[in-house]
Amino acid sequence: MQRFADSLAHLAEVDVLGDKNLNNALKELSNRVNASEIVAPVAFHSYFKLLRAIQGSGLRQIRAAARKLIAAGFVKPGKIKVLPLTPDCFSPAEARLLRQQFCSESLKGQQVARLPANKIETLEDELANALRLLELYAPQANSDFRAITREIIPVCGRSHKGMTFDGCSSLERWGAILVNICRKRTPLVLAETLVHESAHSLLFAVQLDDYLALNPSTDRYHSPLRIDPRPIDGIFHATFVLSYMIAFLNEVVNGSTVPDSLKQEAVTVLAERTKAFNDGYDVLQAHARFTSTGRKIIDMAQARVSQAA
Amino acid sequence: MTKTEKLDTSKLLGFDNSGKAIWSVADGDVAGQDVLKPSGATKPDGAVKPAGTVIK
Repeated sequence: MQRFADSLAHLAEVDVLGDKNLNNALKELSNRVNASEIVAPVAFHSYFKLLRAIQGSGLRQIRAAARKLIAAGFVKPGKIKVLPLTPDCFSPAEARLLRQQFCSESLKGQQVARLPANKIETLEDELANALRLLELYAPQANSDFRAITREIIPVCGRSHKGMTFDGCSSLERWGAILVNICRKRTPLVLAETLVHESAHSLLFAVQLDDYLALNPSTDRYHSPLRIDPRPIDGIFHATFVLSYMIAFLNEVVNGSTVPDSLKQEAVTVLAERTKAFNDGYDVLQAHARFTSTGRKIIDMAQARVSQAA
Repeated sequence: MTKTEKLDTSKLLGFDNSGKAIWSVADGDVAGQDVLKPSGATKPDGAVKPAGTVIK
């Protein structure tokens, strides 16, 4: 967060907003981030919107984006907000914004649907079971997950061209996890989805200072997690998050108080994830043009998996 | 001096050493696209696979 705080301070120092009050408010925001206060995930959307406005819009839009950033607010440490995509939690404008924050060529806006009433009733239990499982049986994975995750946004995923999605994370709402809660999952697999997405967020933060791999995004390779060929960056992400999924499953497999049925499920899933990690790692070893940081990170991922073996 | 020229991108989150915005570099022009990671793809017949499953 130091880099984020420095960015806010720099924007205020160079007076790109041309407004003393807004500059002071940005400095104050920077000071609070520096003092380890945690900004709400939506602040990152406002921050990047501000940068885009600075690059190509007029002063009015720049100031409007800055005001949104300043108003984004803070969250309590360790507290995870659950914000289901319902009219109670998201106005139509907020729902549109949410889709902007998460959607891409891979995930279309229409795939992110509001929750049906019958799902709203059960999602709290489903999430609570998965979070409890993390807390009880995977303390390290739980600690890593909670260090990053501020929001869980349950939505109903809709199929598009035969594809649906499991979860999604985005730099534009960093710390939030969009989860397709309409998929049927066991508590173990839902917990694994949460671990998976929080690991993506961790890597997004690292990638802001380093590309990790320098391959062109037009070159595509077999993905260990997705049916469609992906650029090396996507393979890097998949392999990295698999290492966290494997570490989580390994904690469950080796927990002394874990029920046998859960342990058995974790053993089965762990074998699948380990194979997927090895697939991704092999593709990276063969094709990735790592930066030095990228090499270190993938080596650490490999070490994480070796420790779990 | 324009508003962009005032900025030192090395002090901003989201730019590489050359001043290129790295949060919007891939998959087109929409910011954040390349950092999206939908997962747990399905088979073309729509059957959902568990998160992280390899679908050959």
